[in-house]
This record gives sequence, structure tokens and C-alpha cells, in this order.
Amino acid sequence: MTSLDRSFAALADPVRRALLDRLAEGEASVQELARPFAISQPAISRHLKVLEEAGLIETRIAGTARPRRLKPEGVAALWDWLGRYRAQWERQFEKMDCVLEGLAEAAPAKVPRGEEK
Amino acid sequence: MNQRPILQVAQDGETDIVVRRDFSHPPERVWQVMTDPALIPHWMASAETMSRCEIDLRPGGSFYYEWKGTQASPGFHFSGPILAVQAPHHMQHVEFFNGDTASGTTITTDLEARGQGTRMVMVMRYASAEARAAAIEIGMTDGFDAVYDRLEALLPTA
Repeated sequence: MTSLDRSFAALADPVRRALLDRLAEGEASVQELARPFAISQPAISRHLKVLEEAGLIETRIAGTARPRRLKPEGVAALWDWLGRYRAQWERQFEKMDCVLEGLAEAAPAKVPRGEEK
Repeated sequence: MNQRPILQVAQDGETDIVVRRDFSHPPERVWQVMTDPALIPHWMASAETMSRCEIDLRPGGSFYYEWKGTQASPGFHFSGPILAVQAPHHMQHVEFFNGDTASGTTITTDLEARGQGTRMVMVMRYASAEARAAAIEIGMTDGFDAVYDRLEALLPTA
């Protein structure tokens, strides 16, 4: 799996998306991150591990504390791809329109049989 | 014709996404643009980094589209078999992301003449309801916008 594949796999889970959303507000401890969820802290830790392996978050070492925070490079790579994906359809079709215009200028379409004026 | 053609993207059943788009040129031309490897890089996403574009357009043939990586994103490729070809109206192929043959998306494209133009209907059938949900959540739904917006806000301004 490429890191991008891992990022997508990491995002496929709603708890992990919520964790990422919370971390977008700033770094937080595992306890703080677990608080809104009705699942155990070890389960949250496992989700955080997936996000960390996907390169989307990192652990800061501050004395005995281990707060998690977003990893900007990982998020940037993902955003870059996601942004393209979201706009992909319309952009592709608009480009196809341009290629079609180019073809039409180079060689105007023949009038289909049965539609001669 | 200054009006922007309407693009429809909708879910259908458990596993399908249906994309509809009108073009102001006949099906023969749309087909040519869609299937000619010399033309595909001119419109397919991220043409500037598309590094390989091969298509053996026949039932039993295959295609391979590859994009080289950039500083911001790693390279990737789509490839897969071509199942059906009836030029210039119908094509069916399977798309594997980065060679992952465990979960392919089957894509059926139909081009229908409408007046002087063409209506394209593309049905993307995902391997499972979950695979479609993931694709939609990743790319298309509004519910994820808030997260995206926050992520975007964290990025260094270019």
C-alpha cells in the first residue's frame, strides 16, 4: 500500500474522521480525544495508530505527556489528491469539451445521413 | 452555447454511481476523445503529470494510465481489462487503483445521440456498498466538507 492508500483507508472510518476533525482544532491528549466517544480508550488508541501510520497525525513527546497532533505534510498530500478528485468530473468534462472543439475546427463533422438540408 | 452543460452525479442501488453529462458534439467525436490514447492525456485529470497512457480498445483488451508523483502527492495508476466495446456508443471496463485487483470498479459508458450532440451516461459499479460509500465520502459528499475546510485551513498558503 502506498501512503496515499493508507490515508484513504484511514479516512474510511467515521471515528477516525471525527478524530481528525477534532485534531484540526489543535493537539489533544488521548484522554481528551476519547471523551466524546462511547468507545474505550484502547479502541481510540488503535484508531490513532492507524491515523499515525497513514502519516496524517503524529505524537509529540512532552515530558510524560504524549499529545497527538495533525501532521501537515500528510494532510497536504491528501488534500491535494482529494481536492483534485472532487473537482475531477467537471474539470475533465470541460477539458473534453475543449478537445472536441479542437477536433471540430480541424475537421467539421459530416451531416449525418437522413439529415441533409 | 454559453450555458454550462449540466453534470449529474447520483447514487443508484447499493453499489452504483451514475454520472450524466451532455456534449455538444456527436457520439463519434466524444468516443474518439474518450478512447484515443493521443487525446486522453489532454483531458484526463492532472494531464501534466500523466506519464503513461495505453489502451488496447477491444473486448479482452486492457488499459494502463499512470501518473508520476509530485512533491505533494505520490504517483498512482489505474489499469484493468476492457470487457465490451461497441464504437461509438458503448464501452465497459474494470478499473483497479494501483493494481489492487481485489476491489475493482466496473465502469459502463454509453453515448447516445441527442440532436447534434451526445448524452453520456457512465455507471460506476463498486465492489461493495462499503467501497462505494468510501469513494463517495472521500470525494463527493457535503458531509465531509467541514473536515476538508479545516484541513485546508491548516495548509501553508501557497
